[in-house]
Amino acid sequence: MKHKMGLGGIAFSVGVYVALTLALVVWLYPLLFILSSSISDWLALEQGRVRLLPVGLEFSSYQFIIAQKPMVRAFFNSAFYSASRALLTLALLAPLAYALSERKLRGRNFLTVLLLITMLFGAGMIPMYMVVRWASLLNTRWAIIIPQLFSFWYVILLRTSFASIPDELKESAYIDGASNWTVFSRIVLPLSKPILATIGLFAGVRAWNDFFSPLLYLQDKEFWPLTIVLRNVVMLATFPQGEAGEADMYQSAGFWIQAQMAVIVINIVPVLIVYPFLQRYFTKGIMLGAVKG
Amino acid sequence: MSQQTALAKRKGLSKLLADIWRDYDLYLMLLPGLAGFLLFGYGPMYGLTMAFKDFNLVSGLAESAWVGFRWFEDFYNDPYFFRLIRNTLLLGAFNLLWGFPMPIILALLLNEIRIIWFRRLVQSVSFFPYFIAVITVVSIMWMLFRSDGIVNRILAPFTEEYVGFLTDPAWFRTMYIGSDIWQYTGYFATIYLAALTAIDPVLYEAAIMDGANRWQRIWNITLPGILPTITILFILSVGMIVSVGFERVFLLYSPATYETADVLPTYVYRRGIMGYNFSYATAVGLIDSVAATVMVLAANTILRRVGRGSDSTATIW
Repeated sequence: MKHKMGLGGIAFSVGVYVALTLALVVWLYPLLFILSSSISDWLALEQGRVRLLPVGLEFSSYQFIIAQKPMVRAFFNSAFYSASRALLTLALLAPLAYALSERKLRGRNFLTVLLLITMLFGAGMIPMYMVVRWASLLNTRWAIIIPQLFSFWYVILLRTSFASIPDELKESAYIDGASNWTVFSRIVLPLSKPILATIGLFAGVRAWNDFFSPLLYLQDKEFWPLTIVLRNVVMLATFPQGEAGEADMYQSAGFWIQAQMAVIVINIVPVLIVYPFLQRYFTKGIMLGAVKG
Repeated sequence: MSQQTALAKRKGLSKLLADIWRDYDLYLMLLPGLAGFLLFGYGPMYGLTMAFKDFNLVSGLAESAWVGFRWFEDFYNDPYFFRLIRNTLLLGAFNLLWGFPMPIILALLLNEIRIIWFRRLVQSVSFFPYFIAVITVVSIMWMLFRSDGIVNRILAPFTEEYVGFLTDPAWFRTMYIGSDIWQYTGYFATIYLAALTAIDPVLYEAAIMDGANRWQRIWNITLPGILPTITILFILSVGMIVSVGFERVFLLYSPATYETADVLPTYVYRRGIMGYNFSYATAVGLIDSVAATVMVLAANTILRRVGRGSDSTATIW
């Protein structure tokens, strides 16, 4: 495609690279700064000498956090909510989506519209709170898991994927006398591993990041996920007091800053670990196909 | 005649039952998920009747007395009415104005890049923030922009006092929109980039033959090529003008910045969840939900009218 690259063309290219490099800095810098700060020397943090790279090396905030029982509990709570939501989303929505993908299902269009409406119109915070309350889920772990499972968006993605499985594969099984359930569990599900993995990961990450539900539905500290603890630590500057934590380090402002940074890092790392998978599935077009219609 | 229709009806019904009986397991698969959608999707819609009742927790929703539009009138007379409407609309409108073009620009820039690794790097880095929690993004901003944060330390030689990025109402919208752009630009750019791959390369070759420069190619081929995606995402974004993100506002605001930061969803939270005025808060929330739905419908209708006869625009229905 290289025909002639005039002066204008060169200036254009340079401009594009400069703009994108600047953008890259804007996206990377905050993340690097947080990571560097979380492992820097207290005094350097207190004096604001950490700009980009770590100044000194000091891992005590991570040790401190791991010794704090409420912090560890919050981490495992978040992990539990993520895993449960990923599994239950698939367990409930995949069969639903499969039934909706079958042309022989009576009332298929009606049911689809019925579910679509829940996506287009949300009744809002207070009515939802009342339903959660009415279902006796308030201040239980289930309040962070069950009400958020029913996203029609996931149903659309699953249904589209199930519908793309060739009918011939299913027909031969039906001729052999297989039930719908057998076809679904033995033929359709094994062929749909990529989409199931994608939906599971997305649901899990969303649960990991959920702040709204625990804020509304949980009072008991025992059930708090990491997002709530993160807010308390960074914005309200209150650490959950662990038995191991009553040391002199409390005196140092730098220690506090370091610990706040470390909690942010701990919140990001699990997402970073699954990010390559998320990105691969996304750009593969599974999610995009549905966006494009 | 009527006997015949009755007979046909009965036949239709027995056919339906027979169909359901034959594929009963298919309907069983449907049930658990459907029950969840009914409870957590339609349950709240029934709960909306709270907005027209004098609800209290003791007597329950069914027993509470109807009060018509009393809560809506109360809201109209609320001292914060004007401020809430203004803040909600301005925050949403500015966010759309600044945030909507960003991913298009990023996608167009990335599309001009021929060095694959650099392109991948920018794409991966910009997409990542989409997957981290709003609370995490706000926490990072907090560490960067607070009074003794790194930004204020760098600015210190140039300013007399520290800049109240998080405490000054004049800064709130900038902070909100900035963090929203930082978090979501890469995600939407990825969607546009996928749309870009569908453009036929022959078009570019022909344009080069005709002597079109890069600007002309972007303007005449690339942009029209992604216009359907732009329209769809625009329609969806319009609804966001009124339904601003509760989490981000809630985490970024403080009583010091209510003047510009307090919006309908946060007011609903304070009056409803914190203040137990459930009916009043439901009414305020209902105004927000209805406005969001109406705006999406309106945007869709307008774009369908404008784009009629050309296949370069797309609408949701």
